[in-house]
Amino acid sequence: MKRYLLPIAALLLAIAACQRDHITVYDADNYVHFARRFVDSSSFSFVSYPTDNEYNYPVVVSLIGKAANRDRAYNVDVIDNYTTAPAANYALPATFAIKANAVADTFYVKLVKTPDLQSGSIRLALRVSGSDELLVGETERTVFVLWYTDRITRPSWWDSTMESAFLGRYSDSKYRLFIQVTGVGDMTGMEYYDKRYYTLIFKNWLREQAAAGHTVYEDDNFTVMSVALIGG
Amino acid sequence: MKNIACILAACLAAGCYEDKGHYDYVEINEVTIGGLPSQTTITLVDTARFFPELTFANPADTAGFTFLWRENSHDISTELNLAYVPTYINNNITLELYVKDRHGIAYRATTSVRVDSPYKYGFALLAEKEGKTAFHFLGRSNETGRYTPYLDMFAADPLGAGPLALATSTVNSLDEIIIFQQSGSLSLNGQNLERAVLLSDEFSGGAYPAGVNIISGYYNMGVDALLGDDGNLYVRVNPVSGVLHATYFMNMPHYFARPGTRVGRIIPTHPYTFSLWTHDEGNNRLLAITSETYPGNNNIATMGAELTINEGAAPAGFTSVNNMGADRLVYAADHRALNTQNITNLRNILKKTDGSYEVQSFTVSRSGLNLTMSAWIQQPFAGNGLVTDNTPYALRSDGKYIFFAVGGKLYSVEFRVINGIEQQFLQEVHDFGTDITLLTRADNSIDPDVGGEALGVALATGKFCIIMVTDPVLLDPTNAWQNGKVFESAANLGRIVSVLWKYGGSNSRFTNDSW
Repeated sequence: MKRYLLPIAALLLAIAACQRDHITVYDADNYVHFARRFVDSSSFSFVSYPTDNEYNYPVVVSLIGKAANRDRAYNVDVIDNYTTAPAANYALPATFAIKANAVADTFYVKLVKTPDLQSGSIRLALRVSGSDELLVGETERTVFVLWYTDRITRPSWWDSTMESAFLGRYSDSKYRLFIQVTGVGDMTGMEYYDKRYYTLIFKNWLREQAAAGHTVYEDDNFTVMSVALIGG
Repeated sequence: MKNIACILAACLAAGCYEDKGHYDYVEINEVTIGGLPSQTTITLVDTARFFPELTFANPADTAGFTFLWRENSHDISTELNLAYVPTYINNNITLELYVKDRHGIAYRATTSVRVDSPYKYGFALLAEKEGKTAFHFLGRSNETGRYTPYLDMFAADPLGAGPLALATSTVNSLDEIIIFQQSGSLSLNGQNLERAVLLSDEFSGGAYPAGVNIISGYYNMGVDALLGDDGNLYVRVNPVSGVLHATYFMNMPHYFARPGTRVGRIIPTHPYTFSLWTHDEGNNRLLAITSETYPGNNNIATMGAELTINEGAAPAGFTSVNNMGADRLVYAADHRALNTQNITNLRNILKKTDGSYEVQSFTVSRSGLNLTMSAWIQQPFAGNGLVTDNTPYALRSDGKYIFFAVGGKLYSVEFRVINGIEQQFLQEVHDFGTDITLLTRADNSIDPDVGGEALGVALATGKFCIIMVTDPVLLDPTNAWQNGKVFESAANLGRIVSVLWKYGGSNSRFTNDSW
């Protein structure tokens, strides 16, 4: 009998080990936070939208948890002591919610352009807060910072080649006019054809202005505004 | 001691072995294989012939050698001399020759064959036949210099209607033929002459500029220009070399400062002139823009820029090219000397108000955006009294002869400098017996050893002929057709509208081969 004892014990242990293990699903609290970390502030410029006085800027929040079959509310507030934007320069939606069956939400902050934006940037800081159904997520994603302006600055794509072969010497006035005439504010990564194309559109517009007796000058009111591209 | 003795005995015994091996020494008659070119270029319809030269170490003993030619590990011939007929197009086919002696020792040599498309070089003909655009191609054989006709190439799948003109675009060993027609222009692949790209797709948005039909064009490698029926040029600057269709054509007219500019024709000039010439019929002047081969960093802004023609101290009676006044430009063509750049030589035929015709010749050299004129000559044309407003002309590439046709008669005017004065010598070359409608030169640099090229002659009957207009042929006008005739088609090509010499690529556009 003793010699059967060990095998029997081993068999019993083996049987005991073969139990079905249920796979658990997330069953804890649900959290919400901004998709973007606080340290990665966002920026926006009305320069690329010269004819718009308002802009709906998208802000994304993410869900940590399970999607639900109903809308779940969360809250977003302005951090007053970290916001320099006057109240007249922005508007938030009335309500916020992670929609049913969604794991993220996008809400839009309406940015309003006023003349003072041409002289500098203003900052809007938002904080997400939870609700009965959604708790606040990661600390570094609970705050969203947006800088916006209407001040024009030389873009990085207006490099030495752009200066020598296409649009010529940079000036704020020329850049603003270029955007107005062509509708293009960013030539980053454009192919040669497109750079030439938009430069010629601008060049033709300058010619037309001069032919109509409205020669365009630089800010010194003496230098005729021109481009570097000669052919065409 | 016993063991040592046994070992020594065994060693001594081994030394007495008799070598019973057989060694038959023979003299090797080493062979050197010569006479094979490193590369031969032919077209698919040609035969490449090889005549190897064997040099034997012992010339008195050349018997018993066998030969084997191989291509891609396949045996193709066991003869010493090889007539190789290609069956496919390839840039580099290696042929191996093995020469083996009776002892089995083999000697090997190789040669390379490049097989070009049968459509690589030749005359492209655009015609109208039964209300449709017809396209024919006369492929020139590298081996024989003869032409193989490929007629009505799109009879089963018509290209369109309203044929207008031909052009060619070349990049290295690639090229295309552009067919301009009323129903929509397109390009053909230069290798297989199949449809390649619609011209409308060469504009951003896939359409011509609004309200414009493109009627002709010229592709000058760095700058390509299309002529609209609105009298405007639509230009593209090619930003990189070695690529066809690198960028779009601008859908806005190319700007010219002088009001009233209306381009009536593009005057094809060699790419090495680095300029693209036109006739502004609105202001009755010549008009040129820059066209380097490809833009570098220091000229990307100036590609396509209008050039200023400085006429300098032109002699009295020389019609200003900046303002031709009442003179009418009837014909203009360029010619060039070998290996020149930034130089344009033009010969123009002008019709004066009194109905006479004059020939105007000059040279312009380009520096930056300026063209400086020199070597002005203007004199009554030797064809006066023969030529009319509808006379077709062609200028030989070296400028030495201008050809024109009156009715069915082909004439040449030779320009010869005698005692420092250019004189003209008129002669009839051949009477084709039916009206000549077009003349086209095989546009290329002139080989000074050959001195001339082929001339394409289109007849009203729909026939096309090719005659070599080399110096020896033209110096014997009585027998010019007999000595110079290369090709004569049947009279069924339709109404020939345009004829173009196909270079086969920019490489041959710049070589000294004569056609």
